[in-house]
Amino acid sequence: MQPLSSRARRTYFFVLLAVFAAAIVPLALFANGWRFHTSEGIVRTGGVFLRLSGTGVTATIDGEVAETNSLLQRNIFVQNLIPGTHTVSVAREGYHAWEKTLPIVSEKVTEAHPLLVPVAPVIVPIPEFLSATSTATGTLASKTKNPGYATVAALFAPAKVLPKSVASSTPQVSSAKLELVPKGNELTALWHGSVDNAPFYFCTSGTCVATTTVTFSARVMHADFYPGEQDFVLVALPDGIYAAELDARFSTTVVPLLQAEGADFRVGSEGRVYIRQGKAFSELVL
Amino acid sequence: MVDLPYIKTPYFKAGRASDLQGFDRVLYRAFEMLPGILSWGTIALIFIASFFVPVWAAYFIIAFDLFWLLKTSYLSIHLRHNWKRVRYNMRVDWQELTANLKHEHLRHLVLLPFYKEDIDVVEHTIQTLLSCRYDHQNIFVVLGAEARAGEEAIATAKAIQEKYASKFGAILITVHPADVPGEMAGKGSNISYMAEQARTQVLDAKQVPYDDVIVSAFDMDTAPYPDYFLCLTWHFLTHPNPHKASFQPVPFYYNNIWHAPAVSRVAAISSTFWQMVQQERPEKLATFSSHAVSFKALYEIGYWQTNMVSEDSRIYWNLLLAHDGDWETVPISYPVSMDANLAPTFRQTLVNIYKQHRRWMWGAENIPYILMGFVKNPRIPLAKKLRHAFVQVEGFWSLATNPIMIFLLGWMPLILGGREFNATVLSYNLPIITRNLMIIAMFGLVLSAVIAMTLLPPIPDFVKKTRFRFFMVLQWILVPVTLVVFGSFPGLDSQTRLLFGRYLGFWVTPKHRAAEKGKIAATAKGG
Repeated sequence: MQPLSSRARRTYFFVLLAVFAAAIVPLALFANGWRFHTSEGIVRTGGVFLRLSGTGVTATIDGEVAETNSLLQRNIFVQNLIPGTHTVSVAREGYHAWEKTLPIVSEKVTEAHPLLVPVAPVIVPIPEFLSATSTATGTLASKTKNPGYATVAALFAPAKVLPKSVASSTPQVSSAKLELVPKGNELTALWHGSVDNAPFYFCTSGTCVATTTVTFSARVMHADFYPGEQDFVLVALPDGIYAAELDARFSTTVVPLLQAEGADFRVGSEGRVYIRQGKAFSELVL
Repeated sequence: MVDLPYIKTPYFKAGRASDLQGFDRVLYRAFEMLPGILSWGTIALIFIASFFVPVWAAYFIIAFDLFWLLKTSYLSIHLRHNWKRVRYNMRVDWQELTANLKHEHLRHLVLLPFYKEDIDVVEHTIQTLLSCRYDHQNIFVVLGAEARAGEEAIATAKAIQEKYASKFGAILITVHPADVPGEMAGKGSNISYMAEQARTQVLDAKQVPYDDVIVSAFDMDTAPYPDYFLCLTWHFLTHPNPHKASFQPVPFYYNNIWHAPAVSRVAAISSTFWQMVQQERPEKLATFSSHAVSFKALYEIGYWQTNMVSEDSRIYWNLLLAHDGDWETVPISYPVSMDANLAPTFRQTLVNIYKQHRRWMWGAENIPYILMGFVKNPRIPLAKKLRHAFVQVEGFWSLATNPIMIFLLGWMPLILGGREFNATVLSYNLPIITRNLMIIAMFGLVLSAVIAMTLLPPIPDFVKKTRFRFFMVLQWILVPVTLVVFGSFPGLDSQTRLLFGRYLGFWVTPKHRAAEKGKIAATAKGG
């Protein structure tokens, strides 16, 4: 049996060379967003990138389902979008729907981090006393103080009297480079690092600033970062507690967590959210 | 004796730049630096381009991904054809074919250099030689011990000689002296010594013409398949000029394949596949590891070089330059079996694989030798010089850089490209396109898995067959890792050493066999 003939090898070589020559330009154009649309002809499209935390999230673009994420592919990237504005919706069962009208620019990707908050977050009361215990004769024993209650109560005490052991590791309203400054109805996020490294929502079309402001319907009584996130905040307004995006580039999503006048909250050092309503404390499980 | 003017030049047996003088030394040194400069230059360029012109870097990476996919397709075609040819050659009745040729006058000189291998390893190889279909009286075996290995190695050789001397035309024991001035301790110096000792003590003593002797330069673990000598004889006799050709079998690393861990199997079978691809590209094929060549040709040039590491491939370049370009390697597409890397511990196995591959990649030391030879030998046609030079330089460059470019550096524009680039569709598509092209390329691995399965020796009883078959397929997902860790890294390691003149010494791959010795012997002969 003879080795592969020179002629056969040359043929394979030139066929593959032709494939390379034929494919490389279309591939490069495709990579850069060029697409053919029956209505528009050849157009340089843009895309949207949705940074997501959970799974089972479905993204819809202009009413058409684009993709549902999974454990292996949490984030969703949708391309082939004709430049202009597009309505992007994100839905997850048991969570508030998220929708925005985003501008799509040719060759560029608009990034968004949808705020997905449970429709019915679990609220677990924190009693001042642990359950009363009974003796063998059926008489009530003395009440036991709940140490967790005292710890949570301390979170709501004025900052000066906070014992070190219960102080939040994440400062109440600021992180190392990112600071939240409430003023009236506005909440301003200040970026203290290099502008080039600022979170995506400080930037529009590649140009970044160091300040972004979110305006609420009422005075911001208290604000802190949403546990584990730097793009979202929790705010206490006079009529309740809300979760909100810091991304104010296009519009801001604000979702109610607890509708209760005078309710306040604190984020504990372990990232748990505690609520105070009058003298009662509870934990808000997100 | 033919006149070979180039062998009288100081360049002919140069091992490194310091072996030359004056401008020649500078030129040789510059050639030594070339592989490292090209490889590191490529990597540096990707970093620089990713930082300053990330868009162009991304286009380059996409083009390179496509090129790599098509290149692997092209190589897969060669692999598949050689697979068919190897299987065909393993079925052919070579005895019948050689029966039509006058071959009784030929003698096979088998060189088996060894260092500290166990007697079991040596005996296994001897038994495999005996199992080959050939008149064993026409096979001369040389057991080449190293004096620096101590008395135990010599005792091993003597025990084997005593037991098997009558079975072959001759078994000669040689002991290569230690610390010979100008020599590097290693296989090259040992087998050159063995060949010369065999000439005086066996060939001359038995009055065998040098033209009638084919030398098989093996490693101690080389176990030829049953018709190796017949197949080699047929190729030798049917070649128009057998004294101007080397003969290259396919190295199968199957002796201990059932004992080796998955990463070792993948590395070993990948090496086999590369050699199978090269068998279909004879104009690119240099001798590698176990190879055969006429004694006459070896004697004329003074055997293998003794002052460098890669004597197996260097002998091809020695002969090519000595014969003014009129030399070729004939791919015989018939297997010899060797050991896959296996050490008592998994970690040591990994270290051994790395060191073995680094030694192979140290073959880049041939580049300065070849380029120097092409500069100094005007009798070689220019086109041939350019072709060989390009193949060698491109080959070592791609071995060291391509896997790292595909699997690691492809992400550099995303890391270094900055915010503006990272907001483009191109930056988002770069990893997607790379991933998709690589997935398509991975389909070629399915073909590889099938080919690997069909060429393996029979599964011994002590292996759970169903489970092993499953893992033999699944193991191929390790390829991206082995390509980078045992391809690019040792390649860059070698070329960096060559770049800075930190020359590598010869490292003997330890031959370790797991407990079931009898079972291993059985597997090596099968298939």
